[in-house]
Amino acid sequence: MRRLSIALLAAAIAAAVSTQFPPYQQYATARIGVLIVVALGMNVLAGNAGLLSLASPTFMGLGAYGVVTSMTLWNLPLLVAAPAAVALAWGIGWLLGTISLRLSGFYLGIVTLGFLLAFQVVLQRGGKITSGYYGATAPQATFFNYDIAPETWAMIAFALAAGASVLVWSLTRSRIGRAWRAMKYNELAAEFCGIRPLYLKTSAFAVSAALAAAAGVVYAFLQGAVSPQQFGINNSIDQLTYIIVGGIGSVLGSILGPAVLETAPELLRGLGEKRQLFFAVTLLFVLVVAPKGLSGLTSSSWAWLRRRLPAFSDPLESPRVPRLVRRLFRDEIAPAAASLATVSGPIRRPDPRPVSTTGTMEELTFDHVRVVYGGLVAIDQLTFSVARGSLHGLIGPNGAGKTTAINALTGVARLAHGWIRVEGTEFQSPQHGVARTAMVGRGIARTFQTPVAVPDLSALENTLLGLHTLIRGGVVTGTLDIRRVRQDDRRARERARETLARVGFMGDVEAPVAGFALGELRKIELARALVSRPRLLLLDEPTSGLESHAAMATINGLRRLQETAEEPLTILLVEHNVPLVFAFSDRVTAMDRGTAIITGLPDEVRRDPEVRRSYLGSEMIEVGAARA
Amino acid sequence: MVGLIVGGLANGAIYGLLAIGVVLVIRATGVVNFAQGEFITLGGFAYLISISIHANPLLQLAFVLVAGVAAGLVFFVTTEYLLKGADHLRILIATLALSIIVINALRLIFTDVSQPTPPWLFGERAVNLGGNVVSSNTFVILVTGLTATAGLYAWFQFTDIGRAVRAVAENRQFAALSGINVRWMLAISWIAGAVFTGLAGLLLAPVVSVYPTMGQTVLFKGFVAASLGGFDSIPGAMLGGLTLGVAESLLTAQVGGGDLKDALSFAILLLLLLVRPSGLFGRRVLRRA
Amino acid sequence: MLEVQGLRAGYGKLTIIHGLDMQAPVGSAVGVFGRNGAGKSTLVNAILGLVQISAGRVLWEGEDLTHRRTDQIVKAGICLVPQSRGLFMTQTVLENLSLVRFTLRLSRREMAGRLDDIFTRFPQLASRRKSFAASLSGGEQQMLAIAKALMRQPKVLLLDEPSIGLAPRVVEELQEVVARLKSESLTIVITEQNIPWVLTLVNRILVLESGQVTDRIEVDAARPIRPEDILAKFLGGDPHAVPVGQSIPIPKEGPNE
Repeated sequence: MRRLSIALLAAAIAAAVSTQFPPYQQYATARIGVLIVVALGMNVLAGNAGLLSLASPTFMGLGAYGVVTSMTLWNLPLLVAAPAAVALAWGIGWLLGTISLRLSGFYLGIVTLGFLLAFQVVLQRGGKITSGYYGATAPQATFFNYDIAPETWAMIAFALAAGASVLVWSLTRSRIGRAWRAMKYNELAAEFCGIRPLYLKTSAFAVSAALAAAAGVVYAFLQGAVSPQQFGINNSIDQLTYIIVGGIGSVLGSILGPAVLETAPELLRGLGEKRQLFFAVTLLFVLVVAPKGLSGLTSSSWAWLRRRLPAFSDPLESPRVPRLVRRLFRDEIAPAAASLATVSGPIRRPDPRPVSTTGTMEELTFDHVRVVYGGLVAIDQLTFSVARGSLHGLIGPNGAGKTTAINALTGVARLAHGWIRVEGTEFQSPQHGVARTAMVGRGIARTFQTPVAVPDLSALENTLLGLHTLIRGGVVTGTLDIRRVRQDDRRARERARETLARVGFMGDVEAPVAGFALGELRKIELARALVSRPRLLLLDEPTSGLESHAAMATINGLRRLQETAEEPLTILLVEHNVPLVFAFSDRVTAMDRGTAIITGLPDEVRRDPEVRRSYLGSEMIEVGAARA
Repeated sequence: MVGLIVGGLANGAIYGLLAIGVVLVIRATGVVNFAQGEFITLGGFAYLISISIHANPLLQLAFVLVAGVAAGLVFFVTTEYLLKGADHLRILIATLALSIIVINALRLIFTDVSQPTPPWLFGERAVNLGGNVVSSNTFVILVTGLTATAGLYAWFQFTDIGRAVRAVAENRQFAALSGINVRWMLAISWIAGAVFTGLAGLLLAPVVSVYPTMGQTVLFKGFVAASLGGFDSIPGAMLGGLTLGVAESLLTAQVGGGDLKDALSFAILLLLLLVRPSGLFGRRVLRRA
Repeated sequence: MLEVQGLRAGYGKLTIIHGLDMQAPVGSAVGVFGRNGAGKSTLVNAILGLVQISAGRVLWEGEDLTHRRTDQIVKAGICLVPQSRGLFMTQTVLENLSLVRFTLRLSRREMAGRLDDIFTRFPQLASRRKSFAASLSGGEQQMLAIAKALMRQPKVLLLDEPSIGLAPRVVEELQEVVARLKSESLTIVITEQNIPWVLTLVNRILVLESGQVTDRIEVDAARPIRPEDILAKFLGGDPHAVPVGQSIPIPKEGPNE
């Protein structure tokens, strides 16, 4: 419960601080506190989960009108009305999340806009319930027979802002926070880590709605009244402005945005009615010039500062080293050294591993698999087996069906016919399929041709994504960081560090991976795949974009991983660099036109006439030879 | 009843022109312009200014067209140059910012006061349409809406430059490889989008008067109309608008009330998304796979 | 001469081409061979400015075209028929061909003349002129793609894997079309995985591997090249490439360094 204690402590301190302000400023800063809470919610939604919603004022309105209406009409005490309003908002937010599942970015914006407008209509026509166009005054709230004074509400606003900041910070650092960012960056790859978009999107909306509603409750009592005009499109744009200017995706940004934008007009007297114009111009300015907002500027300044302070500096950054040498080292030598670093021993062509003739050593079997994409047969009668613990290459010209085969295995494409078996038991078939989110749980991990490494997350956090389904931590438990979650987290981080070291990652594991070189990103992705100790590793063109020696080192590194693994690790390698595959694989399957031509030892496959023909292009060999 | 439908068609034609503007921009540039409503407002104010200098109808139209061209160019420059390489979310929010800037700039210059304007071209006259008497504005709206749609469709199908714009909308790389200057085509798309929407402003002004947020209030309906049309077809957008206009008209006759129209549009949108996300009249699917 | 000097190019983080040089003299035909992912498409796309060039230059007749906009490079006389053919599926054959009227501001007479010429060369397109590009067969689409480029009367024609997905008989037709183009002093560069049909047409061969040129071969009529020789480079048929059991010393490294 440590996080909760920190949150409560922060809230208490903030409340105490608020009493030091004179009354007018108390109100103004309390209002900023309310806006901070809303901004936190919007950052969870937009910054973390990447969902655009224009309906945040609506949820604020639900909170505000919720308390005012229920207390006025039904005489509910504050302690019942407030949680009820927040719970209602949570529920409706969750519903909105289910709709968002299938909508592309801008369409979601349009739908939430509609929701906002529709709610305003409901408020205006709510007659008795909502007091219509002109709104209602907030009743006197009591806490066990004590009237809550306006100053107290100001304290509550401060406390809420501080507490919520801590909790949201905790949430974004937790397992769910990482999952949100992964989903925002590449939903498909995230699914392969076991991340389920439905749960994540609904929870993002729900959390954001609850925060906005809580803010709305406090707002109603701070203002003393509610009216429909307070929850319209302009407020929506204001709130977007706060998070963009503050810096999207960061808790600091949620605090800076409202704080700076609300105090600036105060300082620049005479803005008066030009306030909205000022906001909009600032927003546009930030979007064009500094898209990461104020928090982005602070983190760049911090990075700049670190470079100047000798305690933190890195020799590569020191101004005393001639720039040319620095650049040379950074651009040429370091990457080469880094990619060779996966090898701690001489590269040599391995002796072929003994190939088992009995079926029980098969890790993976394709059995007459057929997949149809929109009327076209992509693969048909595809049959081959991969031996346990082996490095198995899958080659074939463009359109041969290699990607489709992987898609069939990983639940992206449905089988029309045939079976795929893993360790002898049925895994994928036309009747029974394993979803892509279940892959990691079943011991299958994969990498992608263009490495998927979430830029906002560090190498360590990216690796932790691989353990998503194996550790605990939901929205609430993750935020509160309860003991079980903390323990899982600690063990997971240990394992992640270990795995990163095993794949030869040499960089800073805590730094965001945004600027890293291709070789490093590939290692991080490999670590993410390996950290869950999979049985079967699917690699999609892992040497793409690498030069020859780096490519060799990579494949050799993979073999060493297999050799040093505690349990047998089977690798299925889809590659276009055929000589490399022949040099290092135990066995190779060559595909063409949707089926397997041959599976066997590399030399066998290389000499097979049909394989050669598939690369040369059919009967033209004869014609060409005749003319030549 | 017929009067209701005709009235609904007239409103719908305006939504349709707005939707056409949205579709023109989104097809070519991929940008969803949340400030599209402001093109209506600028058109309305251009009309207002032209009236104040006692211009003849042709010159009034010219004012509106020029305003559209200018606005389109500003947005083109902002999105293609200032925001070059930005992801769609950022550009979308930028259009929201531009929307507020335009509204507030107009507010500062003209204040929030609603300024009524006479209907364009024929003034306050009544026209006889097959036994029914309609205002001349309604007549002008319907004629303009249909001519604009037909003209635009023909432009895309039969002119070289229209086909070049279609090419850019289909695949920018292929268009560049064919020697097309992609940026000019994008500029033309923005300008066309702004001009057609500006025309809607000219037609809307006599109905609701001219004031800074006149466009913002119909923006959502334009989006719904474009959705009905599937977001990729010009005739579809107009049909979507007409459908929405008639539906609105019939509903408010039953239940009454101006702002209910917004709720109705939202309901229609939700229904559409649940039942037929590709739109009633178009082909593109907007769902994520 | 079309020249590429020290080219480094790729997509974002992925550098596909690592330092490549190529020369294609005017009127010559160059074949660029290599497996998938070796960099063939990236090379021709980079020449047309479709891919980020991080280092090196692209020159045509001495003029530096590096970093120019794609349509400007096309206007300079270099046309690419990409692997995906570059056709506008929602437009007809005639409309696809007629884009040049707009981009080159041709007069009616000029257009008629060029269309005539193209339809004579590609009779199968003449009979389908009102059909939508999407309804054409693979072979017809490929011919249309080439015809579309020829409408511009370019000086350099780059073809990216033109035979992909085509039946052998169609590839023969393709061969004839290219053979005729050669005689018109057009500079041609063809990238291919399917080697045989190109071998008889080219003066020069470049073999790409991992973004670099591993072999340069001048075609000599007296010593014809066999497809098998090139294939060996694709499939690594040469057992001497990576010696069995031989070690290549690598600096020792561990995670704690």
